[in-house]
Amino acid sequence: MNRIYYIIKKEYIQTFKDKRMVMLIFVAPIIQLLLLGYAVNMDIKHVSTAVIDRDRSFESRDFIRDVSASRYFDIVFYLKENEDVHKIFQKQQAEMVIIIPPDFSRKLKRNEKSPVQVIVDGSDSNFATIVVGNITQVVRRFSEKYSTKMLERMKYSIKIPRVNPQTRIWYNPEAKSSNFMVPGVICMMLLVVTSLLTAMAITREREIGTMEQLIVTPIKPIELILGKLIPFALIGFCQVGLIVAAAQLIFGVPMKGSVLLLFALSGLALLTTLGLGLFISTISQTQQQAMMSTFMVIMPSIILSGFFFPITNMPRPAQIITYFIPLRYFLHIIRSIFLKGSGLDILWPDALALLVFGVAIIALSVARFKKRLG
Amino acid sequence: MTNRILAIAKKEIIHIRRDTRTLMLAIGLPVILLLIFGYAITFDIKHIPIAVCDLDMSQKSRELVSMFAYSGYFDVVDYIPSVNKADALLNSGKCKVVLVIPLNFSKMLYRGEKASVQILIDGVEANTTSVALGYIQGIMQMYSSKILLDVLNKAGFSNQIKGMPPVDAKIRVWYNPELRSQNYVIPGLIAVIMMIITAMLTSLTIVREKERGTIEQLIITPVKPYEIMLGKILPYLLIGLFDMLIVFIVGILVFKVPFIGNFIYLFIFAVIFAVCGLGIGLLISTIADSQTFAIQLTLITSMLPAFLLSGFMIPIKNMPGIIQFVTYAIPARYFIIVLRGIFLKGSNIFILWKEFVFLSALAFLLMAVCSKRFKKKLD
Repeated sequence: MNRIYYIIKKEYIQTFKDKRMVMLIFVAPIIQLLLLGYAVNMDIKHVSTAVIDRDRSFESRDFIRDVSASRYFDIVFYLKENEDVHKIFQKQQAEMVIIIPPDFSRKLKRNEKSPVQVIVDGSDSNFATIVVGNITQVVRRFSEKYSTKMLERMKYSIKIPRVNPQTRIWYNPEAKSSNFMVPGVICMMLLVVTSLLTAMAITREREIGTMEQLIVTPIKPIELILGKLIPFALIGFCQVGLIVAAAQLIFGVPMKGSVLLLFALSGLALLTTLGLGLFISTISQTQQQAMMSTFMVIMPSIILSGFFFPITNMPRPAQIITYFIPLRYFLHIIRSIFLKGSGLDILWPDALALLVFGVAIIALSVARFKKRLG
Repeated sequence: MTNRILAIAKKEIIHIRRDTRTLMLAIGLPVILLLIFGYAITFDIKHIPIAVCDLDMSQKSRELVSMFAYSGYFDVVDYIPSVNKADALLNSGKCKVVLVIPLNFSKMLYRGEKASVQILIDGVEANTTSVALGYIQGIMQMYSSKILLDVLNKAGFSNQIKGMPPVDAKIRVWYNPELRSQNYVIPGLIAVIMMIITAMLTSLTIVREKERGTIEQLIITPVKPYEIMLGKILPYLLIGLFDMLIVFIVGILVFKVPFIGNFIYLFIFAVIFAVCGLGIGLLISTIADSQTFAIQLTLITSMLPAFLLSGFMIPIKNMPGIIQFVTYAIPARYFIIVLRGIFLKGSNIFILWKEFVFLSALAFLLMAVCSKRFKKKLD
């Protein structure tokens, strides 16, 4: 037992010898938190719009006012007659162009359908569908407004029925992107830092040559493994605590569930990440290899885990692959505990998956490790 | 002079060749990311699971529900008898939206008044939520228009109906008419991959020599510091450009991303961008003493920004002002504008002159700082 303690101490001394490393371990999560919490906002707003108004009537100006009053579009300038829309898009001066033909108001007054041309720059907006949807909405609302006015003017007193949706958003009432992103940072941090540090720490010994020195000592392989994994597990827990605190203090992300449960399930997730680091250390001879391999695994995991892109949007084969990514379950657990207050009664399938994956990876890695040492 | 640079480059190439893992990453990473972003990731949000609580059970309420079902955006997964069940469904994630149609829905409509329906929506995935809300509003508006037309028709105003809806938006989407995510994502992927490869590999190469102790051996030789610098980055420049080619070819041939610009411009910009990435890597290698530290620093300063702050997935305009200001210092930001411009809009180097100037300036600055630090550290 003592021997494990000494290995842990040695690991800490080595890791924290570099003060900048310490800073990185604890500053990096904060930076990621800030980036993801503030920067990542997928709402579509402030679409820059240029307008050509060839009608210059009261109705056309009313229409333009409606467009700019909606929170989606910013009218950035009015085009002159023969400006090349192509150039405008190429020079990034606007993302959408509205062209109002000269007979706009005339057709409206004559009760005919009055067309308006809208050109959307499809290369710039990954949500061009949404932009199209938004402008369609604005146009429809203007149409409705105009029809109602027209009917009133004709003094036809028909009562016009309307469907009125009352929307209630649950779990994230202001629909803040940060409530979605910030809890996920815990998962990402844990995965990246603990796997990477573990893999590199063990591989460094091999690369520098001190691994042989360790083997010669009376220490048993299992003690060596535990001694190497425990420090990073503790660092992992510290990071979880740090991010949970920061999430609530800085971003006001609600914590509706049990913090204890969060830590306990983080422990399960640590099994998988440390196991990954250990496994990679058994297949790498140099730190660069360890790092490359870790990245090759981590990057697809993060992208496919549902962190940025909801899994339900992916095609079926991709969704099946995500069942094998431990991060997926951990992400679901974290988000549910924070925002929905879910307990073990709802989360037990995810917890079980993490347990199974964790034990499997660690068992496999320990077996490989022993083989290499022996 | 060039002889010595080439000698260092050759030594570096031998190191790289011996390390098959790195080679695998250099080629494997673009392929993996291409597969993921080409096939698995789409920004289109469809098949939103919705549960319906129809307390009215009338023809009108069924009409509304069928509008949801046929919209192409929602999948009706469950019909629940009362609102109490909604809680469990939303919490478990079985559905993201619950539509509650009250008892007096059709009655209110027949009386010509406002009929309310309730929408309960799971707000955890904020992006999906706002998109779903947009769809719902659209469907509600369409339904309201339909009712309006019905009423007008019955009241004998078929003349007026011909002109409804009064304003008809003819919407055209340029450069990406089918609105394929791949056309937007894959050109941007070139920037992300190049930045990762060049910065990561370069940052490690010098730190590795420091850690192993072989840097002193280099210093003893008559090779000048800047020659070491140039010789070391040359192979990684080639690898970066090679990766660009892989994504370019696979993107166009396999994923049918349109390319209407000029490849020469793409190549020029790629070289300048690669130099930026190499410069960042080199800079990090002069600051870090251990590979672990180097890698973490590279992660924070080049990989994360390339993914999150460059406009790759998230529009820069959406970010708060301070962060937008920070993005001016990120090379990937400019390169992504260039990539999308050349691929999809056929922009040339004169239209993109601003990006050209910025990127070149950044590259030059990075290299200048690096060579100064290099000299200091090695002497």
